[in-house]
Amino acid sequence: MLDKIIDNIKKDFHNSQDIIFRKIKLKNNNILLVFNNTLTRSDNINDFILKKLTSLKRKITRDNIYNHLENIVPENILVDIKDKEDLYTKINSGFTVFIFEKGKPFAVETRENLSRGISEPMTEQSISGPKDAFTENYQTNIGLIRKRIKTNELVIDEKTVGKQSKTKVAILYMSNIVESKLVKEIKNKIDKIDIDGILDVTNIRECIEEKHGIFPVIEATERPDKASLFLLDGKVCIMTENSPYALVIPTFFSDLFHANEDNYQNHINVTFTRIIRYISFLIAILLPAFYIAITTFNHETIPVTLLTNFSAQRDGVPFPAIVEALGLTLVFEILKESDIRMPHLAGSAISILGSIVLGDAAVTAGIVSPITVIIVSLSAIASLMFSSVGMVNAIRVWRIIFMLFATTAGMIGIFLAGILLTTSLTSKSSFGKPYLYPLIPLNKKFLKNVLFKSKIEKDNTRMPILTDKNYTRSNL
Amino acid sequence: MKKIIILFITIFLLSGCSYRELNDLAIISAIGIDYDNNEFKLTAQVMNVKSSNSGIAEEESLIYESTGPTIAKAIRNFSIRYPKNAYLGHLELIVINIEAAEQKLDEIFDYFIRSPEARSSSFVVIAKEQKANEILNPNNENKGNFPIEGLKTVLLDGTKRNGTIYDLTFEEFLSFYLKEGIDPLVPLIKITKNKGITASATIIEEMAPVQHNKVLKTLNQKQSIAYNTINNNYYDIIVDCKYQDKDFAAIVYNPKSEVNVELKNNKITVNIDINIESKITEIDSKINLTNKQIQNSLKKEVDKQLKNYITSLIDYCKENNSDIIGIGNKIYKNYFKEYKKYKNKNLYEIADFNIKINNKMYRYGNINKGAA
Repeated sequence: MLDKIIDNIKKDFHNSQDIIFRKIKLKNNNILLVFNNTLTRSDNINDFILKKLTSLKRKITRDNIYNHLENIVPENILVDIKDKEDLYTKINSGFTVFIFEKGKPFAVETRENLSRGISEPMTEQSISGPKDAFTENYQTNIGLIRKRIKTNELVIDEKTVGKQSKTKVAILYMSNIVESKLVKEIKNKIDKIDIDGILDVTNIRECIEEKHGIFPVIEATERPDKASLFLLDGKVCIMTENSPYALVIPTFFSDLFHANEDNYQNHINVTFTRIIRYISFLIAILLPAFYIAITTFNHETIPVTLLTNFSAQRDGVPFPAIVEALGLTLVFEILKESDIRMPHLAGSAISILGSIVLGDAAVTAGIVSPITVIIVSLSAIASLMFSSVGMVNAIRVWRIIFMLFATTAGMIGIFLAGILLTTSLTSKSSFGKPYLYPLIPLNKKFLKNVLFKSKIEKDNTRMPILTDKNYTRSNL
Repeated sequence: MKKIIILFITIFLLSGCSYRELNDLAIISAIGIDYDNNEFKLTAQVMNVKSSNSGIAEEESLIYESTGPTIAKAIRNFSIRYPKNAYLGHLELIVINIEAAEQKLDEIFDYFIRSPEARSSSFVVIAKEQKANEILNPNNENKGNFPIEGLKTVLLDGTKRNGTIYDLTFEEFLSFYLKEGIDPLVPLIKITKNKGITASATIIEEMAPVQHNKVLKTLNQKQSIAYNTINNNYYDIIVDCKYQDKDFAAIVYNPKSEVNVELKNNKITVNIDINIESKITEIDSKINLTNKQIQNSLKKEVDKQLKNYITSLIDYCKENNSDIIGIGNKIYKNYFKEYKKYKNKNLYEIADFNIKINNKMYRYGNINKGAA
């Protein structure tokens, strides 16, 4: 009879070689163990299950084995198998399934730890503050947050999404802070997802985002400390299996200007750095457009010495300013993209080729003017100051829009593009929360807090837009 | 999408200026205006910048010349003879020949205020002895390096630290010119030819008032200083005085002067209140500067000298029937109904002048006694 079961399972798995069947004989009773050897730890099976089974003194029945294992192997989870579908899911999740000639099968968790250890953050690096990052392991990730917020008010709601992938999705929030309406809305949206597979948490983001704008309205972070801080603000985090990122809902525009360092450094220094960030945002978006406008339309806006300098540098350049600037932007994007895709070992070759050979040679050959190289690279470097990839890409798109407007109408074009940018930002919302909060709608206290970091004792309340209870953060 | 379409349409409706690449522009830094045989002759100094191999911009200036019945036409005519577009947005200096100023000043003003491009904060000077063309292009070549930056410094220094001229911008010139009852003073430019073209060869050290269709006699230095004191134009200047027949120099600074005109029973009284601060900077006499009495008399000498200057200016106005101080303008502002009566009269002959000088002299240098 067991052989028939083996044949059935083999047939359903299309003869996959990683499914292992082991028949053991205990006091004339045949038991079949089925597991996937790529997902399980074989020493786990040997040490904790097979050895323990031999020490069983009582009569060999399904229930006796179940109780015995439950008592002596407390680390591992034992579950009953409901149906065939459940059986296969368990095998594919790293369980070892016990099948008996008489009685219902059950499964023991013998999962192999397939993820890498906790490592340093790759994209959101910082000088001060904790240096651990989320990994692909779901339990570890949640543990990293639990480790920071040791209260029973931290709720972890779990859902399974994906028809084929059956990915676990966790919704984390502080039940005593968060606005319950927001949690309900997020859960509803996640329930509505009907998709084959969720391979990363960013898939969830795409599914639940209301409007697909350019600026990110839902941020992903790989830092547990950042995620915990957002949870304490009353935001909601979403994590999935196999993803080293957590989504933060809602994300405001101002959050994109804040780095991890900000929480761990002197507030005056942070204020200074933030001002630099705002300036570099403007440089990143406006500088090439401004350059095009003043060299093609509004020559009178700059001092004559600068004008003659620009004029001398543009002397003999065959292309109009916009073609030059767009071309260099394209070259920069190519360099950036290939630098990301290249293995690290070859990375330095690209930077040498890109910066020295391409840049210097192009200027010497007279194809581009040195000032355009300066302008484009300065604005590109300024945009890389932001840790959010979505932000960097959004800046890139808007930079080109501004450049096109500047070519058609100079300064007036820049102002019109500015109006366009402002309208697009003000009309955005992140799960019903205005994107530009606390600027629009205006909340002076938090605007000051967000623009410039205030002392920790002054930053004692939570944003009223994020919470409907428990406003006080500290009583310093 | 609708929004974007509307925005794009507005761009093309709103954008008036045409697209011009920077390297197609001939940046004119100085323009000279002559008027001969019913034609304007323009001389423009164009910044010609070329990148050299070492990457440093080589600057030299070219001279563009053109003629035309109107200024606008003459400026367009530049592009017939030269490869680049004339661009007046960074104009620094306008040199107007005396004949052009006397005959065609209104037309010159009209072009420069009507043109959206021409910079109205450029300085204006009048060439009294030479043609504007001779000043900008003394060697009659196509290349020159007319010292425009140097001249700007001379103009500013002459105003702020010598008080002998006033750096009149085009805007100010126009506003003075259009005001009722005041004559603008314009700096005069000339060139000493045999020294070549350097900043020292081009001289701006005098001013003359411009009346409608007429450039009057040149002011002397004292009168210019008096004018600048009354109008609070300088930071600090040197006033030479004499004390017991020995020379001494005082720095006069921070002028805060006021001119008030009173009109009572057909009698005009002009009160000139000069508030200045001063300090001794050089003295050719062995006197004890800590002595209060000597201090007082030194102060009085400075006051006397300034009073002299102002009286000399008033005399000039009387002689040439020119209202430099702007008494007519004050009457026009404050006693408009009676202004008609005085419009064509020489006010300086009928008015009484009260000159009050309030001088705070509080520094006598680091040594107590004169070195001599």
